[in-house]
Amino acid sequence: MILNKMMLENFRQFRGKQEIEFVSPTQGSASVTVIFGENGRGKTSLFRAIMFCLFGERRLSQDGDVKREELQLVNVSALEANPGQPIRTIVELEFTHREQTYRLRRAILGMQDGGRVIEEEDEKRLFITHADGNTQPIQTTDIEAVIDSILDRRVKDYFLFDGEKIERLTRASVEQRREISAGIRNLLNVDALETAIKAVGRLTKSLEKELTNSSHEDLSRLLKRLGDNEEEQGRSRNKLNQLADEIRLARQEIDKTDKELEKFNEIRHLLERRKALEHELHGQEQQAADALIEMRNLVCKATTLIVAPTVINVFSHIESQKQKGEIPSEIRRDLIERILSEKQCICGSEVCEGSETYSHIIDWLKRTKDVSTQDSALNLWRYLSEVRNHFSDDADLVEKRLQQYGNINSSIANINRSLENVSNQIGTSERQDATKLDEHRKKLQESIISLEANARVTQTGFEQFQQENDRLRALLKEEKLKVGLNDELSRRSILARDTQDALNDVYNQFTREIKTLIGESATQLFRELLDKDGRENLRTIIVNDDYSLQVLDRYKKPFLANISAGQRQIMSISFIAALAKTAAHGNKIEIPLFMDTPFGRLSYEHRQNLINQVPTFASQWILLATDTEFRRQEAQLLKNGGMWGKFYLLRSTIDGNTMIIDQDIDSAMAVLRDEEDYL
Amino acid sequence: MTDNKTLLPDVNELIIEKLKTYPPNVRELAFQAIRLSESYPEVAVADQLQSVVRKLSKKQEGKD
Repeated sequence: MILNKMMLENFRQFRGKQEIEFVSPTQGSASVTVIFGENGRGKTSLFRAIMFCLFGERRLSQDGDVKREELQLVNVSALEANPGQPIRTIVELEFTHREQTYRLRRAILGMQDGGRVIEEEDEKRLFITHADGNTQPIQTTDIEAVIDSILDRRVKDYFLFDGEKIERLTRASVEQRREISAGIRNLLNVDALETAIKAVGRLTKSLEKELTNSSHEDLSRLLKRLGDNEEEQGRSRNKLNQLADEIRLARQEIDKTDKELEKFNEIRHLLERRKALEHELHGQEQQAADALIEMRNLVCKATTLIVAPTVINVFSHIESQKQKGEIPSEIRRDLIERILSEKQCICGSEVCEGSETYSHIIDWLKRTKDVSTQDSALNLWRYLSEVRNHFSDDADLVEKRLQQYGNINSSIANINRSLENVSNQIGTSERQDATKLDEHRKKLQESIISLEANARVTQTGFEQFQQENDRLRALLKEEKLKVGLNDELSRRSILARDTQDALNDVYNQFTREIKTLIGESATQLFRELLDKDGRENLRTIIVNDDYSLQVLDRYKKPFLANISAGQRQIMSISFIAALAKTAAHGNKIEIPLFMDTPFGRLSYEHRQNLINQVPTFASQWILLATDTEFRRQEAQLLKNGGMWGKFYLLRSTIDGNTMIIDQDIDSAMAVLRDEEDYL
Repeated sequence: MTDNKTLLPDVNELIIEKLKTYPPNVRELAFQAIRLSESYPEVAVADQLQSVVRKLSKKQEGKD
């Protein structure tokens, strides 16, 4: 099966008619089509369109618990632009298979009814154009069977898959084992062999029942014991299946709970934010306390600042007197007082009381301060001069501290406001809900552990019944032979039982060999796809007897639990390719490998290896990639290998729809970004 | 690869090859069972095998 083209009309965000032509291996050596778009542009819708057209399925495996009716396929803006009018949504797929061209068309009608949209299946048509050019319509009732004969719906997920989800194949669980078992059995198509085994078993039972009614007592007893034992074994098998279902349901419930818990991620973020704010608040409060201590130490300085104006006035006054020459006085007061008491001037002349000279000296005396006052004034002047110089520094310091304290307090107030805001956003009830969900999840995990333990015990019981069956069958055969070789019914019964055993042996041998073959092939590819470090350590993939996958390290020890999500993705792809290669007897897979988000979890070296290797085993590779996973580096690798044939850009329109734009490779390179652009 | 119809003969060829080590009547019954299972459901195959096993048993009786 090779996809040629897909036409969409009003499907999801693709309004009107739009088309994609896939590059096919018939167009030279190129085999890769890249559909490129940012998130939300409709890559997964294209994936969904293919699934819808081929199998009528709306839901994808990655939809999780999204209900079918929640997935609307009809274009919303077409519905809104035509109120009351039915809108036709069509997906048409043209593909080639064994030299015949198939044109499959599936349509639905959508209509708005009040607030909801009703969608009904409208048309399903398939035309086959044969190599001679004749076209034949296929009856509607036969379409599913025809498509299943080309790509069995049971194995579709191996070829049309989400790159990030496919790593589930490496998860050791009952469902995963079941899925791999189904993959191997379905892809290798051992259905006929399984039916044959069951039919021969039915034949054996019917012959042995006949024999029980008509023969020897010992034989009858043995047959009854064998029948009872087989019934017990059947019950064990049913219990195993039931336990597997319960485990599957519990795992689904865990997935659902995880989704619910994701809603609380916002709260987790807020809780972290609150913790950070509380931490910040604590720091600020500490700083405020330190600032207070410093301010307390400044109190003595601060009080002097209160008297600063007075001090400055006094200083200025003394300074002014100093400037005027009043302090110190030109003539000392004690000299004047001595002149007045001795009534004699320093020049020797007499100073009479009442004389003009005497009056003059009295005036001097009045103006002249005493020595101690002058000395005190001068001392005060010197002291104040010194003190005055500190006033400005102290004032600056006090002002700075006050400002700092004010800032800290303002910051504390802001943090408190933010804290209040965050606490309001968190809310008490949601926190309780999140805790409850966490507890529920824990209980589910415990329940899975207990169920798996029960499954292991049941499996052991099942194997014991099997051993007892083998023993009873051997005894039965002896007894049948004893009863008489000439008994025709015994001979028929022995032949049927021997054939049943032979078919079982061959079937087990075949699946064992196939598992080994797939393991070897997967290992080879795995090592080619791994990066250097991975290759150093990871050596062998094995498909275990219970169909679980395992990877062994260089010491041949199981290492699956330690590998990364990217390595798991690589391992799953290797397994799928090996499965397909084995089924195709080593040839290329004649089916498109359709990968949504192919490189999301992969390192550059893994991407590089995948780009180089996938075209060697897949005839057609269709990549649905985002701008961050398909960059110039990846594009250049594809271009250099000559494998890249088509590029479609998904571009959003003003009305919220998406246009599919066909671009040549060179202009595609201009659209893509470099790794550095994201740094 | 996924063309089941082209794949089936290969699987059966392998199975038939493996059945070669078993006695001829067992091989024949197994082969008939697989062939019938390609076209019919389990119950119908079991019914049709009744006559096959009878024939094979008689043939064996003749040889004995």
